[in-house]
Amino acid sequence: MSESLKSAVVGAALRLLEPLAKLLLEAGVGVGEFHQLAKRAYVNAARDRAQEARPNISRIAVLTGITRVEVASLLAIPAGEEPVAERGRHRAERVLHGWWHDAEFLGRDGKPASLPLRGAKRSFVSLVKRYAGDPRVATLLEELVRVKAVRQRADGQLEVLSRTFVTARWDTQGIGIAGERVHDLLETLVHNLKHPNAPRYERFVVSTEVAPRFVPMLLRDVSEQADVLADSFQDALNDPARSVRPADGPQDARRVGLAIFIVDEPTTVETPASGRKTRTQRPD
Amino acid sequence: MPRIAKRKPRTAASRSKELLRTEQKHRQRMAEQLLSVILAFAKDQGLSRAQCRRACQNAQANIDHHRIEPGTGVRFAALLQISDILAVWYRDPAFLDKTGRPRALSLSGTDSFATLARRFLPEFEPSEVASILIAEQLLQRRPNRRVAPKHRAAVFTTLNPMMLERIPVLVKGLVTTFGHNADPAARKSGTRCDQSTHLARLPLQLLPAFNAHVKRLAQVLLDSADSWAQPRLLSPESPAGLPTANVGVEVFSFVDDDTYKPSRKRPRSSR
Repeated sequence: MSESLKSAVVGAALRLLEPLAKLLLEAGVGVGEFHQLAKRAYVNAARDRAQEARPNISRIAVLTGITRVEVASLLAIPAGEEPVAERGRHRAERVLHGWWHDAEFLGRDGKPASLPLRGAKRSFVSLVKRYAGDPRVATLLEELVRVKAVRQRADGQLEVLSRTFVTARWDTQGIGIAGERVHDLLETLVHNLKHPNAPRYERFVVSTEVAPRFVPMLLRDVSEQADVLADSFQDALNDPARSVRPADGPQDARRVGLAIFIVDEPTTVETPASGRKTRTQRPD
Repeated sequence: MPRIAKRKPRTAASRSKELLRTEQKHRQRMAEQLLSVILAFAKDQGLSRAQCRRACQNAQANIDHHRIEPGTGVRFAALLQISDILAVWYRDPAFLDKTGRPRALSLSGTDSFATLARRFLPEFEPSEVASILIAEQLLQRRPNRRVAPKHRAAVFTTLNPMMLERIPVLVKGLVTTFGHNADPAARKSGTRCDQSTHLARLPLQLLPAFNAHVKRLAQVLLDSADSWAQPRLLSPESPAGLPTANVGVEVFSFVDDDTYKPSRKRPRSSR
C-alpha cells in the first residue's frame, strides 16, 4: 500500500474513531481498555485473513506488530457469543411479519388482531409455530415485550405495537445494536473498496446548506419515505416463499439487509466579503 | 355447386398477431365500454336514463364545437386551492411544530388558518371554509378554537360538486396520456408514465390493509414528485412567453368486484 493510501486510511480511521471515542468516554472505557480491544481486533483480523485451520502465531505477530506471547494469550480468549441483540432477531422479525400480514392474524379492519397467548387457531402460540417453528414461545414473547414491539393488555390479550423487533435505546441492547450497525456499514464499505467491480449498493446523499427552520419538515418527510421503503423491502425479504424454513438439519441461508439512517449536524455557510456563499464547514 | 370458402383454422402465431392488429371495430368497442363505465357511474349517482341521454347529446355537441374543457370550472379551481392550503400547511415552517407536524392553528390572527385561507381562497370567509373542511373531515377541531389537518390530501368523503368536477379532469388526464403514448410523433418527446399492477386473489379482508399500504406509497411518490418539481417551477416573476404545461400525477387503488372463482383461468398477476 502506498504512503498516500495509508495516510488516507489513517485519516478515515481517525474520523471513524471520533464517534466511537465519544461512546467509550460516555461508557467510562479508558484508552488502555480500548487499546486491549484494538489489539484483540487486530489479532482476529490477521487470523481471519490467513484463513488457516490453525492460526500461525508467528505470522500474526509479524502482521500486527504484537508480541507472540501476547498474540497467543489474545487468541486464547474464547470467541464472543453472538450479540444478544442479534440472537433470535430473525425469528422475532418473522413472527412480527406474520402478525402484520397473514390474513389469519388480522382483524376485520386489516390491522393486526389482538391475540390470546394460547389457542389452536389465531393465538400467539399458533403464530410463533407458523412463523418461527420454535417451541420457545415464552422467550420470544419476553423479548418482544422487552423491546416494546408487543404489549400484554390487562385482559391478557397480546397486542402488536411495532413492525420491527429492534428499537435503538441507550442500554446494553441498544449499544450492542449500534455496534452491529457500524460493523455492517463498514463491512459493506470495505467490500466495495476491495471489490469495485462487484460493489454492494451504497448511496449517500447530503446537503450542508439546509436552513435550520426547514429541518423538522425535511426530517419528517425523509423518515416517512424511508419507512415506506424499509417496509417494502422487509415485506420482500420476509416473504415465506423466499425464506429457508427451520428444519432438522442446518441449511444454507444468507443475511441480506438494508440500512437507512439520517445524518443531522450543525454546519456553517461561510460568507465572504463579496456576499456570495462559497463553502461550508462543520464546526469543531 | 357453389364453392364454399372454408375458413382457415387459426394458428397460435396468427392469434398472437391479431393481438396487435388494431381495426376500427376495436376502437369502437373501446369507446362503447368506456361510455358504459361512465354511464353506469352516472346512473349510480342518481341520473335518470333521460338525463344520461341528454348528457350524451350535450357531450356530442361540445365535441362538435370543440368545447372539451374539464378542469376549467370554478369548483375544481377551489379544490386545487384547498390542496394548496394543505400543501403549505404541511410544508411551510411557519405552520409546523418542532417535530415537523402541522400545528393546530387558531381560526384568526397571525399565521392562523385565516392567513392560509385568505392566501388561496380570498373570495371565501375563512371561518366558513374551516366549517366546510371540518364537516368533510379534512380538518379536526382542537381545544381553544383551533383546527388541524387530518390528511395531507384534499380528498373529500362525499362526491360534492368539487369532486364531481375532478372526475372528468382525471379521465381526461388518463386518456390523453394513452393518446400521447400511442402517437409516434408525440412520443418523440418522450412517453408519459402509465404503469399499473393487477393482482388476483387478494383476500377480501385484506382490502383495508392493501388500501392503507397504497396510500402510504402514494404519499411518498407524490412528495417525491413535488420535491423534484418545486425548484424547477417558473416563478411568477419569470419572463412571459416561456412555454409551460400543467402536469400532475394521480395514484389510485381499485377493486374489481369480480370475486375470485377458482375454476376460471386468470393470470396470477400482471404488471
